[in-house]
Amino acid sequence: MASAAIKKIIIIPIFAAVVASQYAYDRSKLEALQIQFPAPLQLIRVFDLGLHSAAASLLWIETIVQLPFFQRGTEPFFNNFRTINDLDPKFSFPYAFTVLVLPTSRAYPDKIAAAIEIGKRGIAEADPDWRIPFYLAAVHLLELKDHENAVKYFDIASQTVGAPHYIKRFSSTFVLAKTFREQTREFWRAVYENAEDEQIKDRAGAYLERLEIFDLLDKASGAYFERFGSYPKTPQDLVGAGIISEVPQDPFGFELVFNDAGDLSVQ
Amino acid sequence: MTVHNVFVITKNTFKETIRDRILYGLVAFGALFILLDLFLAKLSLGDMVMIKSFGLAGVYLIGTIITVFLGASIIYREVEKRTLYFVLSKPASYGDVILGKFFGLYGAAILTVLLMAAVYLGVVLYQGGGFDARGFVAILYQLLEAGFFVALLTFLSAISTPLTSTIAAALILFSGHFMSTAVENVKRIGGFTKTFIDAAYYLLPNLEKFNVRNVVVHHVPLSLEPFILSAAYAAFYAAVLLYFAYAFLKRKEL
Repeated sequence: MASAAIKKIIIIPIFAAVVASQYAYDRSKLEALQIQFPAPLQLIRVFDLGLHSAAASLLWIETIVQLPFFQRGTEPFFNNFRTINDLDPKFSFPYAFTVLVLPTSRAYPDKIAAAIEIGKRGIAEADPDWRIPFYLAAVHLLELKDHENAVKYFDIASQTVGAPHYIKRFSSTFVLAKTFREQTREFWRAVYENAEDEQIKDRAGAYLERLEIFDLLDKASGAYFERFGSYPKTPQDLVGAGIISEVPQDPFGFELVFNDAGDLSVQ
Repeated sequence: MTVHNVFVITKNTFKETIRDRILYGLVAFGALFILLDLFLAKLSLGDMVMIKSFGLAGVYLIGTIITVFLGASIIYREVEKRTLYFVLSKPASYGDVILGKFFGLYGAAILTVLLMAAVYLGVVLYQGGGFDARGFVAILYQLLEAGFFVALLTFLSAISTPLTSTIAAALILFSGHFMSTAVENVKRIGGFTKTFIDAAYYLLPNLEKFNVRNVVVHHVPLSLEPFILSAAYAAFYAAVLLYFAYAFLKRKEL
């Protein structure tokens, strides 16, 4: 009885010794052990039993934490990124995440060019993923003030299979913002005139038509304001006031509404 | 050889296998491993490719370990314990024993894989991925590979000890998945090496044809033809291995 109790008591300091020795080991760990080697692609291919996608995911978990500070330098990150792409070229998440986060890094001077290059490659090679063109559009808009490319990638994002409705709506609204409307019109006109693909031509034509509708409704909304001292809430109000004869149909089937400042958007 | 004898041995082998307590431990570990996907889902910000590829990898790895664990001694144990003498003294042939053992073990392997697949499908459903029908196709391919592997282990356990069988099975597992890559790489070398690797590619088991896990996690279309061809490959290869198991067992003249 007593010996059993002693055994139970003894086990506690032994277990404490295990924890203490682990703690002591961590404190005195050799620096050399922390050196990271790039993951050799062929070796992974031999030993992953054909589970390339899972191996790429596992490597991405290790790689994702390096963004955006690059504590180990940029080379290990880009080496791992290449290995991930080679193991599973259709794995879209690394592309999307890198395009989103890389531009915020202070540790990499060529971050914008690299993010754009990665984003373009992602759109071409990976699974259709609206996040890649959407974030790429944001990079063009926010970092480069390149409205033309921003419009182009927002449009790609809105057309990507699986894009949520709010992304489609945002993209549609963005390309029609008053501030950029003339640039947007020029862009879509160039696409319309140069497109060889009928689908692209139709889509550019629809955007041009929508811009015409927006111009018309903006003008009518100004007239409504002059008459009533407030902006209309819907295009139907303009018909009710006799300013326009009928509500124009949006070529993409969205409903058009005005906000309090009289700006149009799609709902 | 009678269907009745095969059925009785199959039933007994299946019962004996699923009574193994270590099997429960492994299945529980497998389920836990797949449930870790829930943790991974947080790390991957809900990215379905990562959740699915890890889940399917878990089902495959644990399923293969279980198959090797159960199959490495399936015939050897019967010979060592002398229970095979008892079975053969009844009106049962060597062929009945080999087929009965094969189907019993394959049934247990299918059951364990389907149990883990259910956990996997539940995890994907819980994460908002809906019913992963494409993932289930990958599981069906895995079951074809399991059939081949059970036949291989039946053969290996008829000719060697469990440890040797386990090591040989592990080597065949690695080479079976590497063979396609080796054939691609050796094209650049050419000559005798290429001829040798090409011959090995056709003679040794090629397990990559059962691997659609990298495809089903992406939006790549699937077709029925590769599945039928893979099923035929597994069936023919298993038949060859079971025949050799039968021939070796018969030569022992128990």
